[in-house]
Amino acid sequence: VTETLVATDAIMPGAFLAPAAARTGARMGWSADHAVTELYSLHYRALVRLATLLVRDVSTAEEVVQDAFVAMHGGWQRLRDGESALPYLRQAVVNRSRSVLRHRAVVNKNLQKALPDMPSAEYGALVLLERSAVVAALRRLPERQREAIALRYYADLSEAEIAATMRISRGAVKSHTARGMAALRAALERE
Amino acid sequence: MITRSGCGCDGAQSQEFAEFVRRELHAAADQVQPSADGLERIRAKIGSSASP
Repeated sequence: VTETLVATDAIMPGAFLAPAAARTGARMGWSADHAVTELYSLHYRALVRLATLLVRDVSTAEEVVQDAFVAMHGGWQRLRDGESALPYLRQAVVNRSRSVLRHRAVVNKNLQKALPDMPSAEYGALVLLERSAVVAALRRLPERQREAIALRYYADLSEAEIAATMRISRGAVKSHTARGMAALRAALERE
Repeated sequence: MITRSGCGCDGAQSQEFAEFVRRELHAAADQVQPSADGLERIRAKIGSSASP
């Protein structure tokens, strides 16, 4: 999976807020190593939490985010400015999370033949998260709806930022978000 | 469950539900504490990817 190096003029809100120095890192001449260190301190935790909502376990989420940082390091010279770094990381995290889920679906399909309904130990952290009925319901949504809702309501991104992250139109973001919220509401009302 | 029944077409109700979802996702995700050696692991991966 590759991530296009997309620059946006987005402001980083909420958990992803970054100081001006970080947003202009490349312009200020940060090396790739320094960029990794700075962006790690600013965004690693929030990106792992976002990835955990998508892939459902912390260990895999950390792998996904670490690999996104490695990819950013490799492409640092191609990033047009430091403001592109966080959108790039988000996009890489979403893409890699998607790949993990697709791979896991294939593996689980085979495992279920041998071990029906048996929970995996690697989902220990998931049990904790899914004490939240909202997280449990989020997990059951289609992939794009889950991503749109996590990016909107956890990462607090705008429609334009979500569109850039998911590489879809703003209209599609609206549609996925609205359908996902309706499905979440219906699922929670049934409980 | 905290949700209210209805068509979901009411703006205030939708806003209320959106805020509920936001609070729940933050409360759940904020329990996640990444391991302390994340940066070291990234640097090790960068090192190994740079090796021939």
